[in-house]
Amino acid sequence: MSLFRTENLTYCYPDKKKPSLRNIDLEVEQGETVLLAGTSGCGKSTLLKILAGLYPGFSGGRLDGQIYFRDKEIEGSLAPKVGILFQDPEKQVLLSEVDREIAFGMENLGISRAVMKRRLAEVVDFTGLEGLTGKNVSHLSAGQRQKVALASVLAMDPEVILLDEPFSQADPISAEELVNVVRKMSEDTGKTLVLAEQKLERCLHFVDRVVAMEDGSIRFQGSPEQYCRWAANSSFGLLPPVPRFFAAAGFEKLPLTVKEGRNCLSELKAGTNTLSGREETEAARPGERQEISIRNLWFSYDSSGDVLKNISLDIYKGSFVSILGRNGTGKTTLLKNINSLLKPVRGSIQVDGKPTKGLNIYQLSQKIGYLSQNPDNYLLNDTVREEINYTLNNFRMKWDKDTDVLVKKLELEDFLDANPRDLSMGQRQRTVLASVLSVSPEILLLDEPTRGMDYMNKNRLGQVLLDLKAKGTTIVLVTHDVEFAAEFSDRLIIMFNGEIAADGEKRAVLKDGLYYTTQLGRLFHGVEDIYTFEDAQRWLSAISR
Amino acid sequence: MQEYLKSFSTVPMLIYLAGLLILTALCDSPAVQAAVYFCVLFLIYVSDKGMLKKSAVLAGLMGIPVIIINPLTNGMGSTIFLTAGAISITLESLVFALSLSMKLMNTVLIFMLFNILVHPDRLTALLSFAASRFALIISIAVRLVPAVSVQLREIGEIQRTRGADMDSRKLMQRIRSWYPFVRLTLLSTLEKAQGMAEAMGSKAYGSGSRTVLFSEHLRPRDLMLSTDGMVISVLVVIGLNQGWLAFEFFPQLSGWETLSRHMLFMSAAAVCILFPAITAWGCKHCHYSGQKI
Repeated sequence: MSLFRTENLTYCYPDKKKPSLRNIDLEVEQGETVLLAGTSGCGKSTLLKILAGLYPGFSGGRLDGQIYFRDKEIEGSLAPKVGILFQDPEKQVLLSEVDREIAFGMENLGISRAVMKRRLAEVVDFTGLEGLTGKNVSHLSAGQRQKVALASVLAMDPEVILLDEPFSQADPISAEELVNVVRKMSEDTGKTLVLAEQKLERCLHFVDRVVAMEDGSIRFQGSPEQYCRWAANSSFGLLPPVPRFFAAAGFEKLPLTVKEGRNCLSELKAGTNTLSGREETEAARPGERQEISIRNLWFSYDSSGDVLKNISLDIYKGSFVSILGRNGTGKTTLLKNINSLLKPVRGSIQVDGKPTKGLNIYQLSQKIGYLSQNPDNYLLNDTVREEINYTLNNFRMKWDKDTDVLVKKLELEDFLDANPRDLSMGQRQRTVLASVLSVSPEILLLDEPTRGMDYMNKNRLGQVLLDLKAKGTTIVLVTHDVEFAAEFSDRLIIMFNGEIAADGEKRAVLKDGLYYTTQLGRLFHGVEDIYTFEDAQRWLSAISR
Repeated sequence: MQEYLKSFSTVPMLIYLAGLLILTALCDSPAVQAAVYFCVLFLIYVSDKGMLKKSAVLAGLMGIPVIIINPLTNGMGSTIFLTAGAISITLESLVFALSLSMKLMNTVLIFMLFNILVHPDRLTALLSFAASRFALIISIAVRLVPAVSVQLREIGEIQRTRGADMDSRKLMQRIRSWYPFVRLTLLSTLEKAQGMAEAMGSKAYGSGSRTVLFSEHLRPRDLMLSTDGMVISVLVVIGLNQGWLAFEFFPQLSGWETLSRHMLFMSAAAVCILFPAITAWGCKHCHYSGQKI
């Protein structure tokens, strides 16, 4: 008997003409782990919320077709039989103390105190939250908060857990920890899991079935191996780097993990130094103009401790630098010190040879564009056009031909009169980027711009940034996305505990990385210095010669 | 010390803070108000250093206008302190304004101390016995307020990076810059509230009668703090009843005899107010006592 069954399910949000889900026929069996794969805006989250019984109750809109849970039609929230973990823990965590948050759902169900106590202890152990009980949730990192949210769902002991991109807010190490918890849930507890995710390499290896969604419809259903083969031969685009590489190498059976990939690699002609003649970017370029120069920078928000410790750094004009590191390690704080949103406690920062000490944010804002983590915090106006004009007007500039070119390049010309809040995540991100770039800043600071973005939108953003770099714009990017940083930037900095732990040309930094390296970097570890798909393609053509 | 001060149960802490509020509200003596002011500031300092400046500034913003305006408009008292044209400021009105503003500042400081020492989740759990829905709404609002305040700050920062002159000295310009900013914050708050409603729905809120997992454990330190709070309240009531705390501002200030009596009361009050800090210090230096209480 199917646990969930949908027949011809179609859903349309209120005030929207186009349905977000169209003719969905899906069955989920008991104990199965199903992965919903698809780009942002394809309807994954909407489907999960409908399966949880939250939509259309909370959202309004029109739902057609049938949806059954254990052969009974769903009417309202299915809690506690079905638990759901949202993408953003900030929106899910309701109380301020870790234990109380975990117990909240159980208390709502009227469970006895003895049972609650035991379950609390068990889920804390299971999710690895020992040492965090009693702590204030707002003091935890995004990854830890997501674990707390997951623990609170688990504590209700649901039959099915729906997970909406649970790893997207966490840094690589926290994401790895979360993946292990979810995997344990799938393998040890036998619970039914439905997981929506864009970064498939994190979970493809432990799911039973993949459901590929596009534009509100299901395009493919099958085992992970079948999915990889299908995705490699279709325009779907969502394929992790390892199977993607072996598909390009002509393999019939595609490996899903780095371990399987390394076994397959021995079948390929593993020549050494085949890429020795390739063009490499230089991290430090002595003799060229320093756009940003940081010397002995210290910063602390209050007496609780230093967030930045003795940072010294030179960033050269026209370079593309990515800063990696765990949450709370000082990456965003460093960006805010560069554009004078924060002032250094000690040390100095020079931008274009001038100290920023006496300058305020207004004086630097035309020179330094800043894209923060959440694009929604930019969107003040009713149309994309007004949004861009808002920045231009602040600098007493007018919409000109350059603005038209920018809008075209960011593929926004069809949305100029649309409300930016009605656009998809990628389109909103591009609207904000257009608004920041409209005044042609010489330096662009970006804080986690790829968060929640699918492969295609990331690639589009990367190309825009490379175009800007080619025109001489200096780019400093803070990200958790090692694959993106490896593909587009030429220098990597890894921060740890307010200090620079590694800094150099990207290949040199990735070569020594355990977690801060790409999937292909792990695959080729000790074989070749290959970190991006482009590198791997070059290597393939070199060995086939 | 910080950990110790935050370890008290909610009810004893509320009794203690109520004692401080009674002392502040009923006692007119400037000496006693000054004692409350410095002692509470000290408690804030040892409980959360980062909050000291914020608390002092907020209290000052409330109290200083009273010190400035009251003596100018009061016109009572017989001892001229300062004359500027037609305006005369008397010593009595100045001391009265000082006492009044200290009362106001102390009230603010006591609420700041309440914010630091009373955990919102524990207060909610306490309230939930009487009114569970109300308690939950309070709890969620408490969780939403810091989130909105962080977002306000972030939006402000972002708009500044886009060249918005949000600190303009021109009022109209400032209003123009702030209007969309406030609109955006409201919009985001609504989106957050929608997210929270969905989260509550997914956690079976409202599905039936609730149970409560956490209950407060009363330790000897809680009994000591409750007693301390009650001693403060009783001292104030007896002091007022016996006239020990009487203080005249007009037409002339009470004499040295009254003040010296107040100094004695002030010393007793200071010991009572600082009692949690004193025991915290004692426990820090004597682990045996710390474990016992």
